[in-house]
Amino acid sequence: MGETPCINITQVTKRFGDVTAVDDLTLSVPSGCLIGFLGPNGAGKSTTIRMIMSIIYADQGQIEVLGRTALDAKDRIGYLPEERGLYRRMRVKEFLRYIGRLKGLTRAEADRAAASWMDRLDLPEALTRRCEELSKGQQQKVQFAAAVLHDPNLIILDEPFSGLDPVNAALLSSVIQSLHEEGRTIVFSTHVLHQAEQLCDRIFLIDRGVKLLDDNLAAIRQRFRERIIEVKLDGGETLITPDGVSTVTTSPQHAVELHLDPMADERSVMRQVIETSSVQSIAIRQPSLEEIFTSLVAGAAAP
Amino acid sequence: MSRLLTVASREFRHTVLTKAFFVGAVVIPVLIVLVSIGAEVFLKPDIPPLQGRLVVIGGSPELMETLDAELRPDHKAPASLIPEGSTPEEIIEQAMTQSMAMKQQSGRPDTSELTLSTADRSADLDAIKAEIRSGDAAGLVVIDEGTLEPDVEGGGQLSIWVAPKAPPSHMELLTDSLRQSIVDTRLGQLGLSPDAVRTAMRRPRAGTIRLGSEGGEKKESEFARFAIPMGFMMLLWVVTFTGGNYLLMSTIEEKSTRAMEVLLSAVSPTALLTGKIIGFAAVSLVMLGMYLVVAAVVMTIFASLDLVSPGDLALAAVFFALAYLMVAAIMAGIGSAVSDVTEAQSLMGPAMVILILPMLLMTVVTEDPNGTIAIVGSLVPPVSPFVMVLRIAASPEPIPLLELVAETLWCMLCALGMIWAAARIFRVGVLMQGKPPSPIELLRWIRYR
Repeated sequence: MGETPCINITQVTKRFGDVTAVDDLTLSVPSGCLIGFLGPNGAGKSTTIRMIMSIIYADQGQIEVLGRTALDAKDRIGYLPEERGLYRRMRVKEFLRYIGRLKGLTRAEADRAAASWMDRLDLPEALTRRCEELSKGQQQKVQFAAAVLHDPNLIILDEPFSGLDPVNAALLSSVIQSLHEEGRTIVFSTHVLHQAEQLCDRIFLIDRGVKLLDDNLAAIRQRFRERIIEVKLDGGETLITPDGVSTVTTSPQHAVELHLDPMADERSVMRQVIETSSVQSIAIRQPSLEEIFTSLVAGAAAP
Repeated sequence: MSRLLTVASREFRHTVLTKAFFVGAVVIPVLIVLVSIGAEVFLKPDIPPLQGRLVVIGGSPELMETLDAELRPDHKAPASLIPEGSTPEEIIEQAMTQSMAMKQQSGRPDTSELTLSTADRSADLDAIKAEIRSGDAAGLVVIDEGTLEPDVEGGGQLSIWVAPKAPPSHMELLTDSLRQSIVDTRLGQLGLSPDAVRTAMRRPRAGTIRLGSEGGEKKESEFARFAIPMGFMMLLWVVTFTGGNYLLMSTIEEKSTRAMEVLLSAVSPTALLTGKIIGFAAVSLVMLGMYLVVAAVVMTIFASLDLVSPGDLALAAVFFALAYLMVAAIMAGIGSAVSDVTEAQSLMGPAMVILILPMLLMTVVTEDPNGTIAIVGSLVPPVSPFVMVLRIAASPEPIPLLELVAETLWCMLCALGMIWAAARIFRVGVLMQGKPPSPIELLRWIRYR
């Protein structure tokens, strides 16, 4: 991972009328990382991405992409928007050529890249077909090819797996991984948190235009470690809630989850559980990204 | 710059090199012309012959002779050669006369088996009517007393009975022939030759020569005075609106299919809009070129190419560009503000009211190209370039240079202002979905940073 930030957002604010979509956001995305942009609907993810793409402009603050202004860096960015946009009557080859030409490729370069990417995405026969003749998943692959065919340094993917079956989702996931391994910076915006957890090495969480979290996934997990104790009891046993536990929940696997107070000592809690109940298994579990996401968003929403 | 041209090239190719454009711009107009000609040539009505005995009561021998000539003339196609040195008006008049004569001839029933007979006023009318009903007689004509007299009061009266299934062409022929024969008979009674009277009744042609205010004179053509400005205006209107409409539809398509966001990730909204305007300007030029070629061929046939001066054409080209820019600005603004065609229609209504104004002003401006309405119209965008084209084509004298330059510069300024405002609306609107904006919101979009 390089030292120079690929994206540098400094105190950026964007308002639409009376609504502040992004509020005084500062974010640095290191080069070569695969960062997940997470947040509930209306959190400000798309607005932030559109500002990075210089599709819209910030009211205040500065955005630098690949060491230049966002507008100057357009050719070095690949973008897959959340809403798929293809010309229905255009043939796939023509569409990819058009986007390639707009991204600065020559006609021959664009044609070569289009053929190569459609091969890589296991869809070579689609090149001569009209976009409207393709299935939703095939259109998604064409759109992905359009985002990457000019060999960009920064790739922004907004919900890239939408509309894909598991086989094609796995294919696309491996392509994204290999692009990441080749050293490209990838911004991956999604609502499906386990996908982000599997793919990303860095997470940026935003809610109501305010940044809640921005760190490596490992560091985030470290920060939220030891906060849940998962207990499986013998049949018919009931648990006496020990001291130091704020809430008790049940996991989908019917295990009891003890969410610890911030100051609680997990060893003491575990000892209390073992002493008062007949326990089949007990473990300190790392919280999932979904749990971190939910607790942070709920915490931010609390008055 | 290359990206502008890439956008322009796509818009041009995907509009002009399509079946829809070929059908709309070439096939349909050609088909309309061919069908019109074909209908005229091949679709002749199947008119039954007017045959049998036509009984005339109250007619004189002179009337019967004239009526016979009217009902059974020696049909000959009129001479079609256009005399050398004919003016456009003469050529058009001759063509119209020939066309009318041919049309009349083609819709005239065959009268070769028609016979005329007279009967006195005591004849049994019911018996004759029974003959007509059974098809043995062609008809019965009763001319009232005194109708053949030249000094008859109120023009006289005649009645015609025809068969139950007689087609309109039979009645038309009988009525026309009888009325004309009666007039000719009256003229004969006055000692006048009907042909000589008709010749004497032909109105003379009037040539207008307009004096120049600073000397010189120029022969004025009535045809050119109205047809040329109208032609210029219609051409301008059709071509700019077609180009503008393509721009509108293309913008709506890119918005509704969400291709817009992909495009904007590669080019700025201003560059995208500029590319689209250039692309559809080229489409408009192709259409303009096609129509101009047709117009030039027609004008060459009528030997009237000299009615349009190169200077007027050059000025019209400038105002064509300005009119296109203004219409394109309006269409781009509407296209970017709405999400689909249905929403576009609600915004197109007010725009069309403004854009139809040049049509309403056409007669007034042509009649008085330097009057107050014409001058005010030349200053109000987006009507101004249309009115200027009308004024240039209709004005008997060139518009004063200073005024022309000032109005051209003003039009350019307005066109640039409208394009600027459209670009501001486009920038915000193309990413908006949902309810179309109100006029106040549109103004706010223009002011957005």
